This record gives sequence, structure tokens and C-alpha cells, in this order.
Amino acid sequence: MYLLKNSLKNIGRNAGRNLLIGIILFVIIGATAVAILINTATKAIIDDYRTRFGSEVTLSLDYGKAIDGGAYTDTGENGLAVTDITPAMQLEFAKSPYLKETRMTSSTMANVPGLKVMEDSNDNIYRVWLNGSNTPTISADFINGKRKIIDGDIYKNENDCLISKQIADKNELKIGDTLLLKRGSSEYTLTICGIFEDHTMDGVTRHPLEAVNPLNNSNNEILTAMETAEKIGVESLAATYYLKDPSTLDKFKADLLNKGLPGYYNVKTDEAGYKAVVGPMENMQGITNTFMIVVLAVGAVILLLVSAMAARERKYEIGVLRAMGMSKGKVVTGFAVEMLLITVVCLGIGLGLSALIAQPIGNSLLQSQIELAQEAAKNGLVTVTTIDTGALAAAAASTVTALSEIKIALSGMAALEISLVAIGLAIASSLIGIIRIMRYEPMRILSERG
Amino acid sequence: MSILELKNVSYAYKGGDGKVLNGVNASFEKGIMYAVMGKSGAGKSTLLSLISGLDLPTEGEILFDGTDLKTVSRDAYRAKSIGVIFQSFNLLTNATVIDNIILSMNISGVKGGNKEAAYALLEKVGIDKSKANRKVLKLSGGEQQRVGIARALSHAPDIIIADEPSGNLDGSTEDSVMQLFKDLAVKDNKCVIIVTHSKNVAACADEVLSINNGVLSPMKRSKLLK
Repeated sequence: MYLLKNSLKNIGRNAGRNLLIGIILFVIIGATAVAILINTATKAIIDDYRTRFGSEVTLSLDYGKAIDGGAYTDTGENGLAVTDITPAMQLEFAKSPYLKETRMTSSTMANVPGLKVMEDSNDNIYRVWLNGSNTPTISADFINGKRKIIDGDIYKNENDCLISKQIADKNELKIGDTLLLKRGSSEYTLTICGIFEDHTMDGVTRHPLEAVNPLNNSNNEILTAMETAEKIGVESLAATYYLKDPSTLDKFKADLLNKGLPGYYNVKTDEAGYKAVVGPMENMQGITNTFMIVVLAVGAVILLLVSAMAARERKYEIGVLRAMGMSKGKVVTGFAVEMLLITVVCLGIGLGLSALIAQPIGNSLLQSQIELAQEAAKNGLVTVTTIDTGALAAAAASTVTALSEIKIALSGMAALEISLVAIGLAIASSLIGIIRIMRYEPMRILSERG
Repeated sequence: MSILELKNVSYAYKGGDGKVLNGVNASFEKGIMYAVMGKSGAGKSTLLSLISGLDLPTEGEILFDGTDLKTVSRDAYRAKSIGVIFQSFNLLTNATVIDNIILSMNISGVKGGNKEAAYALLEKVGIDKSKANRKVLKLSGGEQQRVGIARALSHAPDIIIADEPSGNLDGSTEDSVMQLFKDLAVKDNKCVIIVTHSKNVAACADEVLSINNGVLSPMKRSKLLK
């Protein structure tokens, strides 16, 4: 207890020196705290982006490879006889363990006998589209507001379906009614679970000579779950694959080749989009990391010098305390407690102030990084648009977006990290000088002064 | 029985020329005030640092209460068993007088080491309350010397060693301080060892020892009159 009391008194006794050490500590703590806060925030955002959006993979035909691989014929489409990626293959690819998710939409022509459709024509066997989807928000029309469920809910059970308000009104259909869907000789009964308002045909005009075809009118689409669509039959399938981790692209590609993907298809991530979103954050992390290392290194050296000078200055005090019978351990503990008290005060002020200034600094850094990214975009490297964080971000998942602001807050973990860095640095730097002096016998210290 | 015994104690500084102390044998008892006299460089301060446990002899043994200092914690010995009054005071100069005394009590683990006990001790050596709360640096040399004496007495040690304790004191204060040492030896049954140049101070001692060329020997009191 007396060690603590004496340490407290010593802080006041050596106010000038302790103030100098306190200012240095405060600068180090403040700068480190700002760096750690920005770093923590950017890391959280990057991790969040990775978790939410993964990394989009596209499959595209590499004509060069196809020709080199002998796929060229005179009769093939575009002069190439290539193996198309079938819906069955796409469904198989979706089972890859490297994927976070696969977003799929399918289209199948079908007929519902007796159903009055928009722009009807007797010339068509099939008069409606049966569109399957494995995620309810996958359709851009629901995201951009052209379609909206106004009655019922999204399909949850097998054979559930959604129809447009136009079809529902035209046929006086309501939730719970069934549709008998025919495709070839097969018949399937679908239950209406929801009705959506459909503005996708708003403003669409037909050329007077254009043949009337109900399949050209999107009001005639029946929407259902992918599982239901698969059971009925999929004619065309659009699949977008999202990797769990962008670095597993090569493994995913190898897996696809194993599953039958011809070698002349490119398997690529949407690297530009990912970079556009995460790039500024990663750059900010790099800047703050470098800044933190420089501050810690320079700060540690300055603190070490000041502490070494302070230890020399206190050499006599150490000699007196040792001559009075204070053990080496207690002398070191007393000095460490003193430094700890100064550090705690600096930590409190440093953390508080850095929590206040980290936000504007972070915004300024992010803005400069976005400007750099936009500059690059002008040069044709990437396309960048900006949106706020929040609900819109999730809705616009499929677009290439960059953050326009960063939310920086002092978390418990960040505070702990900063505290450990500060205390470790302060104690280590102060005790090095003290321990060096402690090697001498008290008589030598006192006689040197004499 | 002697409280402190030196057996063939020799000491040589590292890289120094020869031995500063050479086979010193002596024994010190409680209730007696000793004076150690000698010329500058004779080894008085070295003897003091060895007896006070600030250093260890290169040869021989120093026994405190029959135990060799090499085998015990010298920190505890300095904190509890011995009180040293340094010629250059060796006080914490940026601390107050009272803090110096209380800290010494705390280090020694003195029960009741509080301000009142410290004030009483300072009063005993002639430092009043108003000066007790001043920083040591603000005191005169004589006052600092008295604070040093109070600090040495703060933990009631068995042995009190003083290096030129009257060097910074005026005549009347010197007399009162010497009387204090005498009382400590006689009334409080302490072993008091004073290292001094002053024949007046040595004359107050019960036994006078002379150190010459690193050898300690008894000195006839008649020599003090010369």
C-alpha cells in the first residue's frame, strides 16, 4: 500500500518530468488508438462484405482456348462447336463446397389451360413463363420496385407460386386457388401463395406489325421456387456463384473441371467489383497499419530515451531507497506503479480524444481513397458508384458499390488492444533503464553522486 | 555478547591498488558508544559501508547477532537492524522531511509508522512541525543532518552508525546530538558506532578505535587529549 502512496506522491514531486513522459505517452496512445480504431472498423467492414457478398464468379467462353482446343467447325454456332453449360451442369456446379451460395433463376415455357393471359394468342402452345428462383430477392424487379407483393407471401412450400395482379384480376384468382400447369403431357398443380403488383410492362409499346405473343408479356410470368421449377423441368438456367473466400477460386475451378466443365471456359471472380468495394478499405488499413508502426517505433525510441534520462536522474533516489533497505523488487514495482498511473491517465484522455477524432480522420482517409478509385475508374480500370452503408447495401448486393462513409466506434476489444499496447510500451520502456541501474550496489550509486 | 563482529575482514575495490581494509577484527556490543577515527583514505567509509550491509567484504565475515551477513537478506538487515547516518545525508531531496521519515518506517515495516510518530522523532532531533512539511532541499545542512539522524532512528534499529554526524552541526546542536547518541547507547541499549575526525566527538564515546592502513585497533583515550 505504501508503494502506491509513494508512487502517487512521486508523480507530483517530479511533475515536470512526468508531464513530459505523459505528453509523449498521450501522443503515442492517441495516434495508435486512431489507427487501431480505423483498422478495426475497416476490418469489420471488409469481413462483413466478404460474409455478405462473398466473391461473385462468372463462367464465360474463351474463344481462343476453344479454337486452340479444336472446337472450331464450319457448322457450329459462331463457327464453334462447343459444349454448352447445361442447366444440369449448373445445378451440379452449385454443389461445390467452395461456394457460399448460388443464386439461380430458371425459365420454362408452359401452359395453364383456361387461364386468361395478357396479349393472348391462339397460335401459341405455351402462353406463360414458369420462372424458378432460389432466393426471393434475386429478381432485380423486386429490388428496384417494379414488382411488389401486395397480397400473400413469397413461396414457402413445394408447388407454391406467385402470379401478377393483372392475371389475378383477369381470372378472379385469389390466394389459395390452384393452377393446373401443363407442359407436354405432364400436369402439375400449383397453389397461389402470393400476388404481386407488376409494372414491368409499363410504357412498353408494340410495333403494329409485331406478332402478338403472350410469352413476350412479363405479366404472364408465374414465379415459383427453384425446387418446384426443377421438378417441372428447366429449359434455361442462369446461375451466379459466390465463393466463400475469393482466394479459393483455383480450387473451385478445379472442382468445376472435375464436374465436367470444358476447359475452354473461363472461371473468374468479379475482381474489379470486389476491389472497388473493398479496395479503399484495404488501402486505409494499409495506411493506418504503416502509420501505427511508425508511431509505435518512433514513440518507443523517444520514450526509451526519455525514460533512460529519467532513470539516470533517479539513480540517486534508487541508491537512497536501496540503502534504506528497500528490495530491488519493491523499487522496480514502485517505479512501475508510477508509470502505470501516468499511463492510465494518458490512456483515459487518449482513448476519449481518439474516439472523437477517429471518425473525421477515417472519413477523410476514405474520401481520398474513393477519389483515387474514381480516378482509376475514369481511366477505365473499374467502375465505382457510391452508396451508404445500411439497408440499401444489402438490396444492391449484385451491383458494384463502394462505401461512402465508415462508422468508427470504440469497441471493448479495441480499447483492450490499445490499453495493452500502451501499458506494455510504457512499462517496458521505463523499466529497462531502472533495471540497468539496479545492477549496481547502493553504495556505488551513492558514492558516485558523492 | 557482541551484536556485531568482524572476523578477518578485508576489502579491495575492483581494479584498485591493494586492500583498503586488511584483516580487520573487531566486536561491538549493545549499550556502548564507539568512535572510529582515522585519516582520510584510511578506510573509515569502507568499514561503514560493510558494517551497514551496503557492500560485502572480499574476505572474512561480518556477523550480526552471530549470523554472517552473506547468508541473510541484506535488504532486511538494512531496513530493520541498522540505522545509517550518512555524511552526505542521502535523503530524498524532492520529498518532504516527514515523507522521508514515514517512508523509512514503511520500508522497515514499523507498526504504527504514522505521521505523529514521525513528528515526535523529528521533534527529538530538533526539527519542528513547520519544517517537517518542507522539502528536504529547503533545509540547511545542519537540519538535513538531523533529518538523517531521525530517519536512522525511525525503525528503532539495534545498531546505529553515523559517518561524521556533527560535521554540519553548530556547537550547541553538536552537544545535543552527541547526548542523543549517548542516551541511545546507555538508555536504549543500542550499539552506536560513530566515524569521526573530531576528537571532541570521540571523547564522548565509551570506546575509541583507530583505523590506520586498513587495520582497526583500539586507541588510548589519552591520545584524544593531544
